[in-house]
Amino acid sequence: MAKSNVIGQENVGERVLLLGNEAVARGAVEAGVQVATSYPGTPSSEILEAIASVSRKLGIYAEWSTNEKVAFEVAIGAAISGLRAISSMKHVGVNWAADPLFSVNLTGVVGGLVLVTADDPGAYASQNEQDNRFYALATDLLMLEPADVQEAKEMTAKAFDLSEELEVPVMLRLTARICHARADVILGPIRKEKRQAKFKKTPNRWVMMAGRSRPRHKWLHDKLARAEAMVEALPFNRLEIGGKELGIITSGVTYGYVKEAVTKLKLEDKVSILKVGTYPLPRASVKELLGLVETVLVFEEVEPIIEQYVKTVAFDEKKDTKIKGRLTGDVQRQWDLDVDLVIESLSRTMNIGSNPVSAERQTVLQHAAQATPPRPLALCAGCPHAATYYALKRAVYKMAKGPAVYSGDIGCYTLGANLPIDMQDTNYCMGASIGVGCGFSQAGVKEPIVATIGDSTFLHSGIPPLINAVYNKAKLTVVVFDNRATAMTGFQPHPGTGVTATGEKTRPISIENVARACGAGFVEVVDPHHVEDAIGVMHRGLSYDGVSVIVSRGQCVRDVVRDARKKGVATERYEVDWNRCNGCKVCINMFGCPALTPNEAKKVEIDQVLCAGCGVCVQVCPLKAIRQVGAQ
Amino acid sequence: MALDPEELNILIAGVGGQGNLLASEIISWASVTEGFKIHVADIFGAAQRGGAVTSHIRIGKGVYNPVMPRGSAHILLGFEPVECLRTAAFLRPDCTAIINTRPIMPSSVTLGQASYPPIDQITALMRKLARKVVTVDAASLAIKAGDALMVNIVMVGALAGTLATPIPKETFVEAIKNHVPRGTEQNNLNAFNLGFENVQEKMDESVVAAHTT
Repeated sequence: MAKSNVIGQENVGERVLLLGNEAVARGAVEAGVQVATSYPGTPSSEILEAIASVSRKLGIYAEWSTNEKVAFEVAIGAAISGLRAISSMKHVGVNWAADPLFSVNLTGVVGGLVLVTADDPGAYASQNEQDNRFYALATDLLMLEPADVQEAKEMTAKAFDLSEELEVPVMLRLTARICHARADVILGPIRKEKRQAKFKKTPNRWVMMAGRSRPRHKWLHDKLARAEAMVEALPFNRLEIGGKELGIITSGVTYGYVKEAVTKLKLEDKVSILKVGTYPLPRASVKELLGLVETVLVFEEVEPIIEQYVKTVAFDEKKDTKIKGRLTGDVQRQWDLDVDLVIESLSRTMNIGSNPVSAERQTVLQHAAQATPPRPLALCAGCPHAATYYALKRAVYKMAKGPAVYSGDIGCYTLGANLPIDMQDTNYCMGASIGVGCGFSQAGVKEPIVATIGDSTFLHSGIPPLINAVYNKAKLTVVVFDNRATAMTGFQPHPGTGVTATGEKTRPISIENVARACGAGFVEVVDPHHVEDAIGVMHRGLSYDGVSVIVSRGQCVRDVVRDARKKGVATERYEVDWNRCNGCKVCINMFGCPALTPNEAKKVEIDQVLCAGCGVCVQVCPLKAIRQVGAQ
Repeated sequence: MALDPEELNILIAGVGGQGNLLASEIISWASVTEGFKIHVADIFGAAQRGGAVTSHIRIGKGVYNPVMPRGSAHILLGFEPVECLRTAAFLRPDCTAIINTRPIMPSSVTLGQASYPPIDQITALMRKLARKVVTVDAASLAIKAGDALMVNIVMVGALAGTLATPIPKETFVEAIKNHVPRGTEQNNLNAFNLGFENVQEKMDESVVAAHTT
C-alpha cells in the first residue's frame, strides 16, 4: 500500500491503484462499515489489513479473530445490533464460519452484513479449490461476484445496501485473481453516518432453536424470491449482444479472459456474452440469450454451477439449446482458467483455427523448459521451523523406534513436507494435526506419533483436539512451531503475540499455559536455535507416556531481519572452513537451509545474500567446519 | 502525458523474497501517474518465500484482464536467470528481455536432483526467444548502492533504462520515492540510477523506440 494510505481518504473521483482486496476494503469504507473481522488466509488477508490501517482515523472497529467462526459471529453480533459489518476469509475459512452462517440466514440481520469468501481456483495457496458459490445456494443467500477490481469495490459497497434491504447477509465471492489483481480504481464518497448499536430483543427471531427456526425458513425463501427479482436490475449482470453464432455465459475474472479471447479471435460480431455477477442468476437474461443462440458455452471457476442452472432454465423454457461447459468436456473439468484455455475452448467449439506458435520457436521453448530446474517452496534461510524440524528429526532418531508418523497442519511449516525435511505425512485443514494424531494413536499405529502445528493454528483450532487427546488418553507428542506470527499469510499478529490488528497491546495468551490447562502431562518450551537442548527436551517429550506438548519458540526470521534492518543492527556472518569441510552435506541433506549450496569443489558454500545469520548450521555441522566471521 | 498505449505487457519473473511485488507496485503506480489504464496480476502461490513468483503488468486500454496469455509479453524483467526460462512461453518473439545474471539455487539443485544450467546457456536460449537480451549484474549493483536487497529497484532502473515503456524516468523516480520504506529513499534512488545507467550503456538504437501494438 502507498505510504499515503488512500483507503481512508475522501478524494472522490480520484483514480488510484488498488489491490482487489484493498478495493473491497475501500468499498466497505465507502459503505460506512463499522465492524470488520477476519482470520488471515491467502488470498483474503489484505482486506482486513487495509481496513485496520484506517480504523483509527475513521472510527471502525477491526479485529483479527481467533478463527473464522468467531470472526463471523463477532460480525453477526454487530449486524443484529444495527451496525454495518464485514467478515472476510479464505474459502476454507468459510467451512468454519458455515455453522453460524446456516443460522444467521434464518435470523437475518438489521445492519448490513457482508461475508467475503476469497476462493482459490487452482489451489495455488490452499489444500483444495472448493467453490464457495455452493454456500450461497445452500443457504439461500444472495451472492455477488465481481469481474474486476473496480467492480469489487462497487459490489462491496452495494452489498451492504442489498443486505439491509433484504434483511439477510450478502456474500461476496472473490477469487485469487481478483484478490491479488491491481488496477486503477475511481474512488467514491465515504458514508459518514455512525450508528449507535442497539440490540432489540426479539426471541422468535434471534433464538434459533427447535420449533422457532421452522417459520424462518419460509421467511428466508420469501427473501430469496425478492433477491431473484432484484438481481435483474443490478448493473452487475449484463447481456452484450454481438452475434448469434455462439452465446457465452461467464462470471468473475473469466469475463475478462472471455473479452480478451473474443477480441484476439475477432469474434466480436459473432458471439453474444452474458456477464453474470449475481447468484441467484439473472433468469430473464439467461432466457433472452437462450432465445438468441443455438449453442451456449459457459466459462466459470470452478464447478459447473452456472452451466447446470442454464440447463434447468432451458428445460423449463423448453429450449433445445446446446449447453456446453465443464460437464460436457468443452472446458476443462477442474482448475482455474486463463485466456489461452478460453481461446482453445472457443476455437474448438466454433471450429476456427487459433494462432499457433511456430515449430521452430516451439522447439526452443521445449529446450528452455527442459533446462529449467523445479523450484519447490522451501523454508527461508534462518527459519526457526527448519531448526525445529532438525532437532525433532534427531530426537526421533535417538528414540531408535524407527521413523515417526507426522500428522501435519496448515502454515509455513507445512513446507516440511518437501525434501530434504520430509516430515509432514498428512495435511488436511486447520487443527487436523492433533485430531488425526489422536486417530493414529487410538487405531494403534505403532510408530511414535508427532502432531506438528503452528502457534496461530494452535490458537485457531488446536485446543479442542488437544483436550480430546487428554480426555480420551491418546499417546502422542504435539510440537507447536511457535514463530510468534501468522507468517505464511503475511505476518499478522495473533492472540499469542500480545498485539491486536490495529497495533494495540493486549494480554498475550500463553500457549504452554493453555496446553497445561488442557491437561497435557508434559509441557516444555524450547528455543530451536539451541539445537542440543531442543533435541534433549524433544527426546523426553517423545518418551513420555501420554500427551506431551513441546512449544518450540523462535521469532520468524523475516521479522528478525526486518527488526535488525530498522534498528541498523548488523547480521552475523558465517563462513565454511574448506580445510575442514569434507563435503558430507549433512547440513544440506539433514537441515536443508537454502543459503547452504554445494560448490564446484563439492564442498559447501554459504550464500551471503540469503544467509540470515541464525547460526544453526554451526551446530549442525559434524566437522565443526562452519564458523562466525563477524557481522555486517 | 504520454500517448496511451493500446496494450503493453511487462512480465516480472523471480523468486519469492526478491522484492518482485514492490517492483510491480512501483511500475504500476508510475503507469497510473501517467494516466494509463492498468491491470496487474501478482502471482505468488502460497504467500511464501522461495518459490517462483511472477507479476503480469498490463498497461493500456485494450486490456481486459490481469493475466496475460502466452506469447504476449513485450518486456521481460527477469530477476533470476532460470526464472526467465520458466516463463519463456509468455514472451513475444520481439520481446526485450532484461536478465539479472545472479542465480538463486532451487532446493532441487542443492539436493542434487536437478542441475542449474550455465548462464551462457540461459542467455543463448533467451537470445533465440527474445529480440533483445540485456544482462545486468543486479546483485552487485544493489550492493554498490548500499543493500543487497535492492535488486528489485536496480531492475526497475534497468527497465526504465531500456526506454521500452512510455513512462518517463522522472515518473519512476517519483513512484520509488512514494513507495519504498521511509528512510530508504536515497539508497533506492541510487539503486535505480545504477540500473538505469548500466542498461543505457548497453542499449542500441533499435530498441529505443517504445513497443506498442
